[in-house]
Formats: sequence, structure tokens, C-alpha cells
Amino acid sequence: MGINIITTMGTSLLSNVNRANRFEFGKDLTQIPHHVISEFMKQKRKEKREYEISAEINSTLQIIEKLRREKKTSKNNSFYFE
Amino acid sequence: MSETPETRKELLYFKQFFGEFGIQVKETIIYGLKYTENQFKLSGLRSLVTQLTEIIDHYKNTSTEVVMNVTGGFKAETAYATVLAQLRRVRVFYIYETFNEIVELPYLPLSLDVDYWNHYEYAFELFDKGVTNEKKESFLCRLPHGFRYLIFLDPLEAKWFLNPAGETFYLSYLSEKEVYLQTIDQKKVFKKNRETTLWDKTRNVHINTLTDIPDAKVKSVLRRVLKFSFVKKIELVDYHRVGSGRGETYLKFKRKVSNQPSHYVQYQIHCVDGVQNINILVERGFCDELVFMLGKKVYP
Repeated sequence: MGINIITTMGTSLLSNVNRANRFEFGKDLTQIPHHVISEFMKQKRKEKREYEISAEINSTLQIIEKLRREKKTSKNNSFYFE
Repeated sequence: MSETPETRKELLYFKQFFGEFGIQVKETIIYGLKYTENQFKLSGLRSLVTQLTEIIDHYKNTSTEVVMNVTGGFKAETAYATVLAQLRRVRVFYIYETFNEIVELPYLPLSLDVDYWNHYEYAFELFDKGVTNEKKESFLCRLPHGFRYLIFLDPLEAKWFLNPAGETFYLSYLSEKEVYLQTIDQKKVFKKNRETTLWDKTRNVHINTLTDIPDAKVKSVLRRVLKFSFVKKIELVDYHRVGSGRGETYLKFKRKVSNQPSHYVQYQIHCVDGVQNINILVERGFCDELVFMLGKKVYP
């Protein structure tokens, strides 16, 4: 049984990167350089704190875990992420 | 995702992140969902409703479960996504930073009276295409009062269209109609050979079709059950009790069986003559849907 998660997307990732960098990129979040975002994500993964990367990632991972527990379908799942 | 530079920028990182977990990511850009108030209201939310409906419908009747995660995005976006999901009985999840734990929003008692709105389908079709200002009032006076809250005036085209709420309503109605309305086939009510029913004993009437049922109220309830297109047939089973009814007519939920080749829900008919058990055979996986739509106690 497959699972498709439709996720509405906000700016949580960029906001979190900006916050972690003491708001040095100001209000225009699109100006955050690629390497800063990559480094932020890499660091969070290294610390096993993926849930702090973004609200979308946190919620999606938790939903997957919850549905897997419910359905015991750890294989053959596909996810739809919008 | 909305049509904003921020979400476009984030998408790359989400794809990479989830890809490493073996999770496939597919984006759908909702055009008009951006920081321009007019476009957001006029086209963005309508577009959101249409796109979400398409995705949900795409997976309908498949073995794939669709769930909605309304954690991110514009507030209006998540509000519409939630209502649409509730109307389509899609599970909705949400996370708030201070909870840091996923919360499943409970279902609200929201559903459309398909039979009722069926009479006004033409109006939805008309306003979906656009109605001029002159014709608008003549249509509205023939429609339920609440319909006027489902339309808006597009100043560019000088026509009235369904607003995002109207679009949500209309698309949900169309999907529900497909599932819930079918022509009643009287032969879908039957009893097995050699079995006796309540009415065999009390009125010496043999039930071979719905028309044979001598109790008008019972017939009315069963007609309603047969309207659902996922109901395959209603089997009158051997269990019955004469004379134990209290004059009231209703169906009472007994149990559902979905671990056998045939999926069915058992209800008990209570009527003036007594009690009669029935098995309502449904399409595979539709037991919960039937109980959700009918409830556990059903009156004529």
C-alpha cells in the first residue's frame, strides 16, 4: 500500500537558516547563499536533529513514521510532496 | 507549493533531503498563490482547490492512501486545504512548533447533502463558466440563500464566478455524486433461498426484491442505502425476531466484516413487525465509508 502525503509548503527552511545565522540575511530569504543552506542541513543531519531543519520536514517525517507504525508498510511506499 | 521565490528555492533542498530517504518528491505549483492580494484571492485559492481535488481524485479507488499535511504555507492556503480534505474524508495532519509532535485533526461532521444539491447542479455549472451581472439576480432568486456566499464578481471579466469556497463545494459535490448516487435497482434487496424473513412470518410475504417489502418506512431507509454506488446488495439474513419492535422504525449498526472475500456491514432493522438482520454488501474497503455516511442508527 502506498502513501501520498500532500504537504503545503511555507518558508520554514529559509527562516530557520536565517535564524540560525542571527538574521544576517534580513527579510529577503531568497538571498541566502546555497552553501549556507547546505551547511545548515548538513549540520542538523550530523547532529541527528533533522526535525529542526524545517516544519515541513519535521511533520512529513513524523507522518511517515506514524503511518508506518499504523500500517506496518515500511516497504513499497511512495510519497507525494507538494 | 505557492508561486513564490522562497518555495521555489526550498524545493531543491527538499527533493535532495527526501531523496536520500528514498522518498519520491513531486511538486505542484499553485499559480496565483503569491504575495499579490488580488491574484491570491481570485485565482490562487481557486487553483489550489482544483489542484488538490485532482490529486485526491487521482488516487481515489486505488490502494494508495492520501493524507494532507497542512503545516506550512499561507494561512488561507492551509485553511482551504483542511476544509477540502475534511469534505473528502482525507486525514489531515498538522504540527505546531511548540507541540513538536504531529497532531491529526479530528474529522468535523462535514458532508454534502448530495441529493439536495443535485437539484442545483446547473447553477454550479453556470457560475463555474461565469454569469453576467444582469443575469445573476434572476439565477440567485431561484437558488438557496447561501449560494450567494459561493460566488464573486471578477472585475476584469465583469462576470460572477464561483469563489474558492464555491469551487471547493462544487468539486466536492461532483466527486461525492459519483460515489454516492446511483439508480436504484430493486433486485439488490433479496433473501437467500430457503431462508425465512420477518415478513414471511408476520405477513406471509416473500421478499425477492425491494418492492416486496411491505413496510413503507423500512423500504424508504433501504432505498437510501441503495443510493450509494458502493453498495452492491442488501441480503436479508435468517436472523429475525417477531413482535419485539417498539413501533419505531430504524436501522441499528451491528458489526462490519472486512476480513472475508465479501465486505459487508450488518445492520438490524427495527420496525413494527419486529427485528430483521441485514447484511449490506459493499465494494471492498467501503465498510467504514458506509458507517460514516449512514451513522450507527438510521431513521427513515
